[in-house]
Amino acid sequence: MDRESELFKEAYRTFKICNACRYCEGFCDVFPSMQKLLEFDPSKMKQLASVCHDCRECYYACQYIPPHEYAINVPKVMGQIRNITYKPNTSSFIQKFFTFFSLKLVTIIIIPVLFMTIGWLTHSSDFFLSISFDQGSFYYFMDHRTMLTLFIPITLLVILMIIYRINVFSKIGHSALSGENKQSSMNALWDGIILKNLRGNGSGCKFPGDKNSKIRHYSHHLLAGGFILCFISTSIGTIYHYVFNWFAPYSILSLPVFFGILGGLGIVMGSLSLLWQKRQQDMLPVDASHDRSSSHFTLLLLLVALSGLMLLLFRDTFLLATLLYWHLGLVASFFLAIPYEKMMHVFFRVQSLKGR
Amino acid sequence: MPIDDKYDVIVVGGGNAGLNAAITVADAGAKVLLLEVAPKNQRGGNSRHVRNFRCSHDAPLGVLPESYNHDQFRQDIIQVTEGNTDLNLLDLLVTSSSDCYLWLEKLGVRFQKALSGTLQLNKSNAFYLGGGTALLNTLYAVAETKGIEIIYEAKIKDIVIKNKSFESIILNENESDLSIEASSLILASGGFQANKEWLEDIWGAKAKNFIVRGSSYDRGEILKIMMSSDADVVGDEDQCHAIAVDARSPEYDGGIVTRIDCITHGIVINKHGERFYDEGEDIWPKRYAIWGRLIAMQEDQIAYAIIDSKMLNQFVPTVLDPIVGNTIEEVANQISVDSERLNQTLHNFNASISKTHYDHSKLDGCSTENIVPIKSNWARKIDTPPYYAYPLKPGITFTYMGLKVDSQARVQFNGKASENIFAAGEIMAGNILGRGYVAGIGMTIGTVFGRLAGQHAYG
Repeated sequence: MDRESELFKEAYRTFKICNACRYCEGFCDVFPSMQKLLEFDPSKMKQLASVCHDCRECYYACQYIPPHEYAINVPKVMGQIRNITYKPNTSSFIQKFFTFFSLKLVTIIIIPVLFMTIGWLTHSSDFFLSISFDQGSFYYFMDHRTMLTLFIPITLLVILMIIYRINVFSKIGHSALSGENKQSSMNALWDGIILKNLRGNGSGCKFPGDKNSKIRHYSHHLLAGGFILCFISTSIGTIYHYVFNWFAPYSILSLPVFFGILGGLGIVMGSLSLLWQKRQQDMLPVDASHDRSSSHFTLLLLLVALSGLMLLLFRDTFLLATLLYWHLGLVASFFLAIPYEKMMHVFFRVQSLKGR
Repeated sequence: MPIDDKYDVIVVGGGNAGLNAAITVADAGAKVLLLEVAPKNQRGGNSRHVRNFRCSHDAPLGVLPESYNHDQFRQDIIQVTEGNTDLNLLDLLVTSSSDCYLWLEKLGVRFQKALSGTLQLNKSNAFYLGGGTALLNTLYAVAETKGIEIIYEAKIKDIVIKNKSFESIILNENESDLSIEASSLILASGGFQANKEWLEDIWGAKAKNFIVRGSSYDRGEILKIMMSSDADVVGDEDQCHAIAVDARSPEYDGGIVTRIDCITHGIVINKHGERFYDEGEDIWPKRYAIWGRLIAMQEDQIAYAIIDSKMLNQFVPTVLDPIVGNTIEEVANQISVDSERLNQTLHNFNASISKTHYDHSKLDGCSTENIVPIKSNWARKIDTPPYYAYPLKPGITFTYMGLKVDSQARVQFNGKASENIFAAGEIMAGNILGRGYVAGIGMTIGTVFGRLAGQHAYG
């Protein structure tokens, strides 16, 4: 808590200098909103930090970055605040669990290995058997009902958790930065989708240092677009199963597989590019712990997509069961990580953009 | 970086003027060396802190709406300088300013609409997106792609001039002197406002209390060398752009955020608790530049802006919180001003106000009656606690005395133009600004004369 209040004090000091300067007003929505923040109010600072898309324009334009005695670093402070908002409050059991084990270890290693172990234990005699299409393919190793029994509770839990966390966040954002002219939800959603606040006045955000580039913008769209295509793929599969009684596995030319491949490739390319950018970027305007947490989430998504694509590629071989349990383990990891991780930025951003 | 011993053009000073000169002359094919005195992370002199430049235009231009024509620009300068300006150079400046927008835009400089709180500048001044540091970053990147060699932390020891013609520059590198020749020399090294010793020579002990709003590297060393080489000088030594800044600001480099914008909202007193000038003489953008000098004339160069709670959020917020008190005595004690005296000043001020049509958005004519000095507009009783005080000191932005130039930016010696020495920016601002100031004029001078010097320095 002490470190947290220190952070908000530093943020307030920063905002006061920004408010007296205002040179960065034209870059994004953060600075005009900041001008409405007249008092020390951590909840509004959290909201402001979520409006920030980390384009870093303001860092390179700033006349007060170190070695100036004001030592201003807006993107870093914003990242530090966002990092707090992504993490649930410290009293939560799950938070303690993750702190103890490290979220990274749990999601990337422990849960997937747990899944593979269970698979191996339940199918020890024929785990490396190659199962053909007409034998049911992956349903041979985990039937549809088991899958549902496993994933429906996880999904419901995650949805409840997300709603709860949005609710907590919305309460802080409810008073909004600009009470009178609140933006409509549609506006907020649209500005979130087009990454309005990552555009740096149209020329793209700063990457790797003081240079405008659209690569982060495009990579994010590739990743997010891939994610949406995978969601579409799953939805079509569900319709096939329940409406038409067409059961998986589907052929390579079917809609679910087609969207799945496209989406998977989008996620792989987008996340690889984002991870590469994190290695190239100038670290001065970056909060390292925020960066690690977002890298972790990107890596998790990359593994989910990669394992899915590999499962498709090797589904006719002896690797089927191994890849299936690995993939399902990673999907479960991903789901469970959503409420505690960078993924919440989707919801927090839109919520904050409403209050600009 | 290896330094050659011969260049076509050497530019001294890596601020807005120097960069515009260097890029222009490099475009013409010259081999250019740019010498910047500051380290890379503090490069660019006062340009690091600027936000806009003044630009004439007959029709909407980029972010600039409507028009701000030649005559309006010209009149504004004649008015603030009270005629202390070179009219030929002024016309040249105003005419050329309109090209600068497109020139900078082509180089990749981005602009934004007038910032909130500066609406009165939206027609006349083009604001750099992100401010002067962003402008510099763009111009430095352009300079690098054009092959301009840049030396940071350049220590210039001497400039060898024979018969008003430049021969070589002596650079101190690693404890040894290095002579570099060039066909032309462009001087864009700023004013001497950060040279406290020099300021003390002019202002006496008063200068000790000045706050330098800009770069601590603007020490006028080059101007001094040129003066000792008998270059013609223009402008009075004590003329400068100086405003009222928060007395608690950093001694150097505080930039824009040090200014205090509430002078029209209340009264200003000196350390004896007395008012000394009409706080409501004219709208703030036309008067803010006189307050540095006014405060410099007060004892200990200190003053206090006093407002009450009615006015607290009516102006651009400040970095540091004001001194606050529930009674005027409480405030007086904290700022070590005689509370009885201050009470009397406030009483007299409040008693002199009978008009009530206060409207800060215009010259409201709401003036005091029968007190000296008068407050001509926005006089409103200071009677609603808590009361607030902002301590004020003179904040010097840049000095005006500099090198006299002609319409090709050539430096003069005994009234005759040098064939290969040019000057641009603050070092020659006194040609235009005999006194007074309008927002963005420094950057216009730098951009226009920088380009002009670049055009004539080669080929």
